[in-house]
Amino acid sequence: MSDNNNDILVSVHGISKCYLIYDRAQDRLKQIFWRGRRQYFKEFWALKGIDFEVNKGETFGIIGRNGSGKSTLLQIIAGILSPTSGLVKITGRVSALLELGSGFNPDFTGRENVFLNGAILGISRKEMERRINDIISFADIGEFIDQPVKVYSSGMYVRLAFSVQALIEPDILIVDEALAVGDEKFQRKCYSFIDTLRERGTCVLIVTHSTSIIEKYCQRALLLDRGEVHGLGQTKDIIDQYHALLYADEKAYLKILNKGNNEREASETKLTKEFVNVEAMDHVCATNATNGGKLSAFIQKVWLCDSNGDEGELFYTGTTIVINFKVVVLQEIKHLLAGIRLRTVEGVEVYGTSTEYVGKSPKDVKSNTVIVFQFKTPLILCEGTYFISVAVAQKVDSADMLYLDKKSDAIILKVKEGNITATGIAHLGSEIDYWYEVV
Amino acid sequence: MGENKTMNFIKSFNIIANLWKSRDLIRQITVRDIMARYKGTYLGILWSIILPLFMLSIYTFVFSVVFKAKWGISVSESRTEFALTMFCGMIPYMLFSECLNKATSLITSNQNYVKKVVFPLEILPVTVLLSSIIHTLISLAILFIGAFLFIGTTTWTIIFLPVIFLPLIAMILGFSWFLASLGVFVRDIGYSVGVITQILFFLSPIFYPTSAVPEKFQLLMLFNPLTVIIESLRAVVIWGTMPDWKGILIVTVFSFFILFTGYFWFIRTKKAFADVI
Repeated sequence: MSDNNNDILVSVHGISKCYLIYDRAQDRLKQIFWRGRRQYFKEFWALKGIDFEVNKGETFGIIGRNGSGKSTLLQIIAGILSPTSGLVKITGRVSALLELGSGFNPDFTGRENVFLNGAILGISRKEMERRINDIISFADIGEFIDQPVKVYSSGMYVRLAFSVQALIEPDILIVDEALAVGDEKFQRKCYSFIDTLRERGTCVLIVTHSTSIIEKYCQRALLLDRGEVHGLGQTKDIIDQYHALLYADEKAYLKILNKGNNEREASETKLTKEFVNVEAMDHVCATNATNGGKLSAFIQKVWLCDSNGDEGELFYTGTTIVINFKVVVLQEIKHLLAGIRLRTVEGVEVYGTSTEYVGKSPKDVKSNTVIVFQFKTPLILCEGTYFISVAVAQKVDSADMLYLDKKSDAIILKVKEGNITATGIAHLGSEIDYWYEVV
Repeated sequence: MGENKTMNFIKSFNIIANLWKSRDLIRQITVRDIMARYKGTYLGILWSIILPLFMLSIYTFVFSVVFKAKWGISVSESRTEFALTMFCGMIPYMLFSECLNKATSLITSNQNYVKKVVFPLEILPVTVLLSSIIHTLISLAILFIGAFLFIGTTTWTIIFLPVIFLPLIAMILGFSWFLASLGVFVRDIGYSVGVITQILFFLSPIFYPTSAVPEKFQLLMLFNPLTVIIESLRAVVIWGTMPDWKGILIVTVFSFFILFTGYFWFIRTKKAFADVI
């Protein structure tokens, strides 16, 4: 087992974790008794064949939706859970901040817990005595350090927990979502400390839902979904993919994923970059036919192009884009409405409009017609990723309408600005000038 | 790889070395456990003296005054002598039952150590034992003082105390490891151990001598490992005679068998704890 690369601190090979779900706890013992001759459990695979390596001085992010297996993976790396199959190789001292106040004993005071935590991590009392002042001053929880931790607020808990785990100079630091509990100032302090640790060669594993944290601090990231690796590569690409997973519909995402996989296999490089809207645009929406029993109209196709009609992968701030969608009308509709909506990846509504506002709703649409709606939109948006949803509805009366079909986040719109001149969402395009006043 | 496995297998039996590695942790948790026990009470550690004395007086009243039980070994038997003789039985029993009853819920009540950190869980039964032994030592001190005051003799045979307590401790640890692990998978264990230790209280020669048991049952009594320990403790502290060497030898062999199987069972099953809890 010679290691030809000393820089790899964490190496995970084919890790799988299967939970055996028993209806009753006693069944577990019965299973041991019967061995393979009877089966009392159902299998649940929390992780399936996970492979990756993390190098010295690298910050590695793991993202995924709830229940994707992120925490299980971290627990296996931390050595708390044992994998069903596969191998984890860890070089150096691991320190893990999993959930709130890892292994704190609520009846002990903060100070005692620091020593206890140190002992659990296998650090001698002498070494802990040397570090205790640094730890206490980093946690910055004042006189609470000599109070039992059960009286701590969750923020204090995580402050102390992080301080212990980080200030013992681990070789590998694992940070779970716990940090989100601390206030923003403390979080910033933590991440800047993580950066200094990294410079010293510590490798840091971060698990979070917050893409901004991953984006800021991680060089590489792993996207987990339902226990499988969906993407591994540069942070930016993985985050794009994560957004697609979260917001695009499943079919579109699968295409993205397949494309990504194919390209990875073909060129053995990282995931393709601006993969998004080409794929999303030509997906054919097979609308579920359960739409109130009778289907009167559905959106067949959504696509995006520039003012010249060229379908592109990304668009520049200041240009005009055209959002198109084709609606198939099956049954006669008296008053048809069509609308679009733009949202940021965080879900903030950027813009929304419909045919009704501008008095351009088609009236008395005959059955078996196809209508193409076109929303010519000047792209006065700042650089970033946006999601476009489209919908058609039928007007019932002056105040009410009935949705016929809706494609939420059907298209991912990537906006670029060559030289960035603004931040935020709306690119209002201020003209800036200044002059000296004569005193 | 295979050789490695056997090495690890052999290493896992080196209980002392494994526990020694965690000595700092054991010390911290034990000290904390003892302190937490009486924290916030006015009498503090005094409770460790008051409680056994209180129990002792109640039992003495019930068995000696109400039931008029006699030990029947010395003719001029006083109530205090009866009490002290009975106390010899209570001390090992209390240690035994306290540790075992705590063991069953030990892992489930320390979920933090199972699910959030890499923790040498096998030290938990050790810390329980150590903090209980403090009470045993206090009780033993009371016993010696009592024996000196009321019987008036000091027996040199008390130097054999370690020989008597060694198998008791080994047995307790072995059972604790086994029960701590089993308690994770089968929650009923907590109740059944409670019942079994209660039964043991009456079936051990605590408030009667083994000799008072009808002869056909005496052999059966010997299957209770506490019997030899209690009778030997009495012999060395009260009567000033030799412990039952043959019995002690058998119990020691049995205890160490329990110690190793219990430990082995614990180490083998502990990987699954995090999955179950």
